Amino acid sequence: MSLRARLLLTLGLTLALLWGVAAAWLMRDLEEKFVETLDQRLAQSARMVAGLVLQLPFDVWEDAEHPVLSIPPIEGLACQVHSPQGEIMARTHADMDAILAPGEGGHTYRQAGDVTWRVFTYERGGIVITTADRMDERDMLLSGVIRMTVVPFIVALVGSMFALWLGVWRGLAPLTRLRESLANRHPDALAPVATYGLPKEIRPLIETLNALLARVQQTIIREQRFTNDAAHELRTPLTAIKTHLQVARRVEGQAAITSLNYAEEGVVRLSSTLDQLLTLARVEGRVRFDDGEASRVADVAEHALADSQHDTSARFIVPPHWPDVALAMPRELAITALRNLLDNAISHGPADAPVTFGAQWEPGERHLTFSVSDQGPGVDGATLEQLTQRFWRASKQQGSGLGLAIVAAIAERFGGEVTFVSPAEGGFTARLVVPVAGS
Amino acid sequence: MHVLLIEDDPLVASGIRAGLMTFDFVVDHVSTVNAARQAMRTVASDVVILDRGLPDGDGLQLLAEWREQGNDVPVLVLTARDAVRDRVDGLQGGADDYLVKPFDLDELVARLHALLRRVAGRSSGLIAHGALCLDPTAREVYVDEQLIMLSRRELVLLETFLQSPRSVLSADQLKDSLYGMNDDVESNALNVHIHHLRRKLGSGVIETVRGLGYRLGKPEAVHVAGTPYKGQL
Repeated sequence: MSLRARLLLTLGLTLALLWGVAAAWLMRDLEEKFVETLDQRLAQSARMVAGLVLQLPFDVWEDAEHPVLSIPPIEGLACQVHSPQGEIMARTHADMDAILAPGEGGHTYRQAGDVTWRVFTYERGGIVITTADRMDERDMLLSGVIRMTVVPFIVALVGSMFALWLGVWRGLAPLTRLRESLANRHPDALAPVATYGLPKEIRPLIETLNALLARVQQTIIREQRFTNDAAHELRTPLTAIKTHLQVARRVEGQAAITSLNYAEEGVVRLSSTLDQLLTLARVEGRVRFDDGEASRVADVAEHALADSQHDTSARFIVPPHWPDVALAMPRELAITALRNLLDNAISHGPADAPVTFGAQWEPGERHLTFSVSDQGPGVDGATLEQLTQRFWRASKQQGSGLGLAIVAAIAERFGGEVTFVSPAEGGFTARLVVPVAGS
Repeated sequence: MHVLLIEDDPLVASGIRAGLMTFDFVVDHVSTVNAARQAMRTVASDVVILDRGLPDGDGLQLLAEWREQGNDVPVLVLTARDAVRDRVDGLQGGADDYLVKPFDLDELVARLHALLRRVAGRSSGLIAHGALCLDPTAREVYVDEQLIMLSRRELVLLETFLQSPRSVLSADQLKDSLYGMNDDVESNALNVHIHHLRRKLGSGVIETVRGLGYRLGKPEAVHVAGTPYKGQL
């Protein structure tokens, strides 16, 4: 249900209900007051007649030609005067003896045929006066009054309904315009939505939407850059392979063998880049790595050292004992992260200087810090920040540019952290902080 | 034909270099923008193969720089990025052609020849000069539809002359076409090659312009050795 329909329905029903209750209330009061007023008038006319009759000398009645005075009748109103003896002294209608017969004092209803009368009986100085109103006259009068009251009510109700519709329509017009402008957008358009002329209730909503659009755009740009970089990294070795294979077909002897060797070198590079890309995708994805084995620090470190691309353990300085604790992360990923740090240190440190590999942990601490230091030239401050960017690398000859990005992704996935320090005097240290398993 | 190859990936560069050499191109390879600038100043290249992502800058900037200086050497841009945007940028930036990695060696060679042909203002793939006809792709030379056997260097030298039929080419320019920067060249090597060409195609095929260099002879001066030179009759 649209906001507009809901608003119209809720407000319309409420308004109609309120106006209806008010009208009903008014009608009830009006009717009560009307009956009361007419009854009063009936009583007053009886009193007035009584006053007049009593002022007359009593023998007027005796001298009268007709024993019963007839008063010219008034439409809808009847009156009859009775002497103390019960004789009728004067009357307006000759045919209404039953209706106008003296009764109990006060108001009462009497029925004659199909006409109902409102009768008032009044006694004063022995004289009994009855007055009567035709009820159908009264009803006509009352319905006339009610009509006069109801018409303005209906006009007001219709008017307020129209005002309500207009108000809702105009009030929601900015939303309609916004909806149309969003609906007409090109699916790829991520430009912010204009907030000009929007009411301040909607503005925060649009600003939030714009912030979301900006984030989406950044993500898309980042993804595009990644795809572009990945394409570059995969196509370059592929180009080398293809070109060298084509050369090998055109030449003979040693030259052909050289070209084939180059092509093979390209294959090695391509497959290493592919491996790294797949590892990164798995670390960043939802793949589970648990193999049920605890990641003991010593075990993980030994595996990383053994896996490290240059199998020259003589170049590593390792502590005599590794902390006796397990890491709260899968063994495979811990090994991968450490191996990448070791590979990085080996390829950037001088060939004749050892790489220092260690781990710091005190019992009770919740995190353990691995450190890998080489004695290479190090990097400057600006480069430090780029190290974990995907496909960033110091030079074309070294690696795929994904090693440290993978370490950072692994650290992030398990609530750890990787930091790099490169003092001005040279050397480079990578610190990998990882959580330890609760005992 | 001398090709300046600007490519920072050593494996790709060695492949292109070896591949082009099998097609008788003389290839000089540099891997940075700076080295390319230097090479452009010192060597007369007939065509340039330019990679975009170089360690010290974008290849397109270098290209823009050259075009600004009025250098209109034909440039083929190589790239691993195939987004339309990248291609448009490359062509608008002054590139004459664009090739996405990985490419076919034959296609690269065909495109290089097409660029050279366009520079010389020829519409056909074959280069004709009087009775002489050179097929740059097949590396063959005919005179009156008779195949002439030329050595690789002789063919390259002849191709260089045919590429600029009306220009006087200095000895240095000719040497750049024949040899890479790192080749050891004997001082009289050029003379030897010219001598051989004249012996095989008639003495008038290459004219000596005293003090300046050499230029291609008149079309009617070409004739196959052993048959009489019509001009002398």
